Amino acid sequence: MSTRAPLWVPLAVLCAPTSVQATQYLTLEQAQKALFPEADAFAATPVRLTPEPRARIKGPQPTGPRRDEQRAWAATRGGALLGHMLVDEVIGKHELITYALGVGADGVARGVEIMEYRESRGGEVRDPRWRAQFKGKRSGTPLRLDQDIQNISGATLSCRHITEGVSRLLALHATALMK
Amino acid sequence: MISRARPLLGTIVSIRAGAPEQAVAHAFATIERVHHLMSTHADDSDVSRINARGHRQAVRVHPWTMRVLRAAVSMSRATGGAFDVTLGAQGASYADILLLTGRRVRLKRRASLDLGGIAKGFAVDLAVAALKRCGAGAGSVNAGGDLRVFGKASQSISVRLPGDSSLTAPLLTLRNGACATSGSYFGSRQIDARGRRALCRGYSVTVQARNCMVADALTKALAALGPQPDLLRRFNARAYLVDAAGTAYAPGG
Repeated sequence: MSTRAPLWVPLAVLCAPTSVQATQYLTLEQAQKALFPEADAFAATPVRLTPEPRARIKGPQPTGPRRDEQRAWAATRGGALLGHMLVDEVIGKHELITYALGVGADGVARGVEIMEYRESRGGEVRDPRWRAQFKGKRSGTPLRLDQDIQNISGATLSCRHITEGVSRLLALHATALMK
Repeated sequence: MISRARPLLGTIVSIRAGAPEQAVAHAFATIERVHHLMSTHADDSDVSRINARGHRQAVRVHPWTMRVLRAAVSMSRATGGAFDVTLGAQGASYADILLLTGRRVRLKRRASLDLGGIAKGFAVDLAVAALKRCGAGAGSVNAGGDLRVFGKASQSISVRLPGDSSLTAPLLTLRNGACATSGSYFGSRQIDARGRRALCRGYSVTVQARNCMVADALTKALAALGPQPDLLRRFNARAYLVDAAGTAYAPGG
């Protein structure tokens, strides 16, 4: 019996690495339904981000694309306010994540759903033209995705950017949407 | 098939399943429960309570926490301590964890437990069980790279390449199985001595096993120990090393 330490021996050169992964998880309507299943109506209530309230919001600064407006919807049932859904984008090292935050009328977060995840190699994630393709997307106009991200192992993705985004949105909700 | 993703366990957890929406929501709720029990960020989690008081008194924990701790300690024994959920700062080790009857945990000395290297895999296993119980025939759960697939068909698994995690390449196929990948910054002496290229730029170790908790824990042990054919055989697992150039290696001998 050999006492030699076992070695890693070459097996194969992996074929053609691909660099773009993207998945659309939820459309806007699906996200609304997921976060407020009991609601019977959603009304757009965008929040204008003037420099003044922006400065009042403490906490981490936006990591996503700068907007003058925060997309938000009021969820109601029989006219009674249930809460709001806010949709935001955050940029990581090489990923762009669109997510929706549900906040109850009491200001307590109900949940976070990732609507879309897209990652790419290189700097294009920070290129406004590349990001523009995400704007104004509605259900019925799905993105053409290069490759679904399925079953990828390794290099744990951090959700730090989402966590930061959520605290920013909660602060904004408290300032601008709670009456 | 529906796909959903949520930020959980410090990463992005995605679930794909041929199941109703409620089944996926139930699977996420299961993961959230594991997160709350085993996080070190919340003061009232089982792990935080053990870390705060376990050296003074026995702490009663949830059955899931007990299961993870039992698995962690037995993995520590099997790997001679290469896998260890105690943070070494105070000189403590897995041998200081006492698992008592009645789901109680005691520490022989002050120690900080961190289940980060095993709880994610456990959460993935529970989520898959939840999906199956709800009638899902096929699908996958992926917690930032710790993943498990189920169903009749084989599924292709890609790995992120060490050195450039935005690049992925197909490594293996899984059918009713799990895998996890761990990076390492240390070159393997054996391979370096034989002049293999690109290893100094890093490599990752992927372990394929029947369940994700074992795969998760074994990647950590193998990243530290190098290939361990006996250990892998014992857990009925396989391991692959991938270097930054995209070459895959298997344990020899």
